[in-house]
Amino acid sequence: MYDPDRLIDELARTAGPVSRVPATWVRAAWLIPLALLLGALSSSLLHREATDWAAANARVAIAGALLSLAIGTFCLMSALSVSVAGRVVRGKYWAVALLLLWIALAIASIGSPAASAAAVVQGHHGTPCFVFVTLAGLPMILLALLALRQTRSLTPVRSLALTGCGAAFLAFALLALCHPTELSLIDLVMHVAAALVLGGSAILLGRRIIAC
Amino acid sequence: MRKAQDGDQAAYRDVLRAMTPVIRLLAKRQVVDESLADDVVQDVLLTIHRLRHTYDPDRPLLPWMAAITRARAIDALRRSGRFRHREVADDARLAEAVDPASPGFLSALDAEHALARMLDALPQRQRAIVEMVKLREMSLDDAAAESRMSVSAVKSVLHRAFARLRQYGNEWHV
Repeated sequence: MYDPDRLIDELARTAGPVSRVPATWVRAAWLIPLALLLGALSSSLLHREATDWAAANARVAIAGALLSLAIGTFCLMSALSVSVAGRVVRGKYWAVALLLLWIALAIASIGSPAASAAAVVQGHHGTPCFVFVTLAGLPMILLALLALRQTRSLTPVRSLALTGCGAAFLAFALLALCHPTELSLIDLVMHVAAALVLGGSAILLGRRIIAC
Repeated sequence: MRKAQDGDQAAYRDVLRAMTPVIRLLAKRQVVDESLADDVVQDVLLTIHRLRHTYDPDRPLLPWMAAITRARAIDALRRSGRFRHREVADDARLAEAVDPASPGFLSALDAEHALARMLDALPQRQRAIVEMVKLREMSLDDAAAESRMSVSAVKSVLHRAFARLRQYGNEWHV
């Protein structure tokens, strides 16, 4: 049988003091505000009109924005948590409930088919939203990768998928500040597409960086 | 473990020694092969060394250690599965392929391909260290710096790698 004592002696001889990783909530406390700031700065390159909060569906839009913020925060905190060995995602059933609510609100925000068709004719075909979400989300992902590098991850794909999801929803929250309160179907599709791009990008960019 | 994180080397040694039987037990639940289990134990100890800063002393140690062991065992099984699917499980032919004195050497598979397959038999960390030191002819110090390990740990990994390669009938000259 292999005798690991030699390896243990060598590891112990070269081991020095280490700085323990702070608790997840401490790491999230600086990561999430900074991510939102970076997302806002990068997306400010795009010219967009502020949301008309007096418009119809404004309350639904506000609720959707708050839900996006909550889901994004949950996803990023979970990504930080599961990057440490032995930790699990807590509150996932609540997160699923929030997600279903978010989907319901998004569908409720969809205007009439005629309004959606008119929006397409006018050039509101969802591409600007796609660009906004990816432009806002990518710096957030890069920032999250810096945070995840501190712990590495034994399950990098899971951590990165949560990171991409978190960045997408935080970007949705920012988008709500400069988006019509009424969605078109193509809008919603492009939002989802942007979220998938962010998720894929997080995995592609970060897999080697944070793998242990 | 708290003391170990604070730099107490004796405490760290004690913790690792106390962990090792548990790691071996957990590894053998997933990995039947004795030799593969030994590799898993070594990988887990090295991973614990790299990730010791992530352990929260206010939480139980076992879930942290078990998660690392499980991940490394799965990695080992995946590598082992790739080896079984790609390689010829014929020790005689394998020895012939790398033994110049063998009458069948000229008719054996291409030496370069044989070498690549031999290296594929090693766990990722062992293969990386062997490639650095033996193929890229890096010094132990350079290999240690690139792999973020101590020189002693690099020597230990090399020792295990050569033992594994000898197991498959090859003799390497250090």
